[in-house]
Amino acid sequence: MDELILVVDDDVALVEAMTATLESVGYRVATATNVEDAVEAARREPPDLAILDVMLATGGEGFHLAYDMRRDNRLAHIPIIMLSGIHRRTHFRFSPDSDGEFLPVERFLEKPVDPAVLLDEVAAVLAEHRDGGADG
Amino acid sequence: MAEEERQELEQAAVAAHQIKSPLGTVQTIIRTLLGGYAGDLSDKQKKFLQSADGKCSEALDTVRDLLALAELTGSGASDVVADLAAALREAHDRFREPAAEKDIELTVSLELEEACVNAEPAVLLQAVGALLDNAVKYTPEGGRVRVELGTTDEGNVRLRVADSGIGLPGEDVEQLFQPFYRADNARKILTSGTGLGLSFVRAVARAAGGGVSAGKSEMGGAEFRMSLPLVPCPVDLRAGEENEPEPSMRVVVIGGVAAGPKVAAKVMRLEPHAHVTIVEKGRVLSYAGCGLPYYISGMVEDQRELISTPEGLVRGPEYFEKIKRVHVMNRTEAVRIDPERHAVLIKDLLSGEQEWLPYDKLALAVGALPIVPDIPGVHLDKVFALHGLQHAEGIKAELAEGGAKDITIVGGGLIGVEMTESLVAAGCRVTLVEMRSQLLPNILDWEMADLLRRHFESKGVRVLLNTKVTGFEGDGRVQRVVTEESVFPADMVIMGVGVRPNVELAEDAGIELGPTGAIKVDEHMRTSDADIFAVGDCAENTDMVTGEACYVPLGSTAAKQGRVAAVNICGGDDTFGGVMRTTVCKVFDYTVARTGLTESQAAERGYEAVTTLTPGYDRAHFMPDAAMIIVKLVADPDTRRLLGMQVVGPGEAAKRVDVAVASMAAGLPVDEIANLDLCYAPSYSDALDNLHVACNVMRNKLDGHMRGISPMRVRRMRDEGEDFVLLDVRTHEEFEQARLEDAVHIPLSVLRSRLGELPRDKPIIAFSRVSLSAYEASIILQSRGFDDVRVMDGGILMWPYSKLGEQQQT
Repeated sequence: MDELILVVDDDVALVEAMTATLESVGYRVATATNVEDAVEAARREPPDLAILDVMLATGGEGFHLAYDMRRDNRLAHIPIIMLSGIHRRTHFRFSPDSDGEFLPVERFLEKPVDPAVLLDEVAAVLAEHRDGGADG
Repeated sequence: MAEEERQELEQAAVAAHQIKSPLGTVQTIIRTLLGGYAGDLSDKQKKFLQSADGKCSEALDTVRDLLALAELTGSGASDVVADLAAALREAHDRFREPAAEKDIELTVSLELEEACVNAEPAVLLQAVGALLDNAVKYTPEGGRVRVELGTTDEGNVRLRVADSGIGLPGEDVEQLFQPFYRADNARKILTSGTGLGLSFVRAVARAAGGGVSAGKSEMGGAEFRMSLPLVPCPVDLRAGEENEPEPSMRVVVIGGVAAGPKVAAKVMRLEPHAHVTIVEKGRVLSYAGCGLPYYISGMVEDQRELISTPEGLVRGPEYFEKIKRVHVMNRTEAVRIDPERHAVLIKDLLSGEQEWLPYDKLALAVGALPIVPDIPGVHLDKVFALHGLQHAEGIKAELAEGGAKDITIVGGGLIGVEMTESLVAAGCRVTLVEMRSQLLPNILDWEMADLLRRHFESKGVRVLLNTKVTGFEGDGRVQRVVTEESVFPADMVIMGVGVRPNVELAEDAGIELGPTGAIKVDEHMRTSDADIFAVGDCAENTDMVTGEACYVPLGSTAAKQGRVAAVNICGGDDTFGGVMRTTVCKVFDYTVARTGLTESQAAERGYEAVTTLTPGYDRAHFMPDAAMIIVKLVADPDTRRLLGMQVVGPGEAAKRVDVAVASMAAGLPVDEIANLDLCYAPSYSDALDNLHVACNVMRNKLDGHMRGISPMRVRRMRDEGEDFVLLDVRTHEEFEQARLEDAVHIPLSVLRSRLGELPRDKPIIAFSRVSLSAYEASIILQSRGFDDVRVMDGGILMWPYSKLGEQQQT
């Protein structure tokens, strides 16, 4: 298992914790704490999966990053797990089931993310992507 | 809840928001260590980390509860429906085990099978859970907890949760419901618990229009009572999927941008049991297409703002499903309509699967398509047609990367003109190319459009009129624009040639098209097929001035038509009378607003129209923010009614045109408009509004008190060598600044004494700055026996050609 995972969050401590978790089971990890670095890292070596925080420094930056990746031919195929804060005022929650085309991500995980859950989801998304990757 | 309490809660919620994220990270780090992902731990280390994890969870629970409470308190009355009986059944299941562990006898008796109240189902369950949790927690081993659901005499539903526990403190029981209050006797038993449970219960009860109270139970412990108004249970809450009742009507809406969602939402409001489906090709619904130029310039920063409601809800498919209860199929194309079968063949664009979707009523809101002329190079990279969010994204990305600096816009219509400002604001060099002799043809007359051209040029925009683009050149990406006269560089091209109605689907289904090529509809928005409606940019309009068919695609029209169609789909009777081609746009510092027919459009239709040009300040001239607007009226001398109006200038233009629209719709003659009781204060208008003044000038002309002549006509007479006197009656000071070639200058103040200088056998054309003084002059001259005196409309201010001695024209 040497898949490359890109972890993007503006909370450095959280990035480090997720990195430790992912590396402990053998993934390679690239990290970024802002959109520019994330795009650069993704272009330097396209990851097998990206974990993005939905908010980042200013509201919704992660959302735009996901869109940008989907439009970039080299990055469009990369599956995305999106992390979001625990509560939104509006009760309006995104879900990849009904919003897959609007918000092009594979999973939404609510923060705080349990490391065991994170590993399960990463493994599941990578597996799905391997299976479904033949036609895309 | 007291205002003070509400504010405190809000402040606490703000703090909770701040704490939430770092606290979450702390817990993730602790669990990373606990899980052994950062190396092995000793048992002692694990034990400490486990208790740290527990404390973190407690703190996060408090944060969550506080945010939920603040949200509930701030959101006002709920209009969602949840079943209290169902919530109790679920809560019973959850607390069976904790109660059994303490050997507590938990009984739940439901007098009602279902009891619907206004609350979110999840929130209601939380509130009921909090009551049961308290009861179990504060009841010692071997005790009893009883839950009863019944009705009150007033017809409310009443929930009682009674226990044999420690009971309530003697003091004011109201305090129990305050956030973070925990009674002294409760503290002695347990140290955990967020202290927000009962506040939450109260907030839920209040949002549902009811209340809570507490007292001593018959068993010697505490009793909490919640009384809530009952509301009817919605059908889908009661019934399972298999016995869901037949929908009252199946409505399919094709198109999810402007008019389509409007139709869907209105139908659901009128017919809550209808089954409404929106079929949309794109991935996004209901965006403000007219906002795209502002998105590109960065004035609207977030793409999501264009697809949000004013309250900030994103109008994604989920918004329509959850809030509007409309079924949305995005990324789905309508392939064919079979009017006989009453069904639409749809295709899932992702899977390619096709199926037939039956309808009782169908609404077409399929919009318009950009016209892309078939010229060489039009498919080169970086040649865009501004249509849809994807194009806007492409243009914006191009600008953001600094890839495009030299931009050519093809087409001087609305799209081109509105785009120009966005691009200049983004730091680009812009060339605007228009095939015809003026900008905004069909919208403005030539002299009004010329004001705009001059304004564009003052902003550094190159305007090429009478110029036909014949192609584009470049190696993969566009590099040069080719016109009939020349070739010039461009690294991005935006095609704004216009749009055409998207009628393919309708045409294939045998639905009739009108003379403009758009889908023909009656005033009910019904097409030639009685069960098919068409709204928005794909539908034809009626020109209310002339009664003729016209095609004027605008978002404002689409929204109105959507409502009308929905009412008629639901069996009502609503009509859409038509449009007046009313348009407004902002172009740098100028506003362009217009309605009805231009002078040339009136002439094409055989009217012998009379026109006026009246420049003036948009409010009292002494107000610091007074700004000029130039008003042009076009009127029918037979009816004395307005045929159209155009306003251009830096001042407030739209409200004058709006008044004209209303007056024209009401059929008022200019004589009545001239005396309408419009808003007046110096900050908003002059004592006589610009529209009043324009109408009075029109009346003078219609009554023969004043004969006008346009600057263009004057120039043509001069070019053709006609013999006349051009009389300038401005002051010496004004004359020094700029003057017209061959003009005779006699200031109005001395005109009476210098009449001898003017010939009596030639036409005299008088002008002044805005030709108000010239009108005075014409009256003097006529009273002294000069027969052929005319006033040049708009004065020297509206002279669109070169002037002598001109220093700088603003």
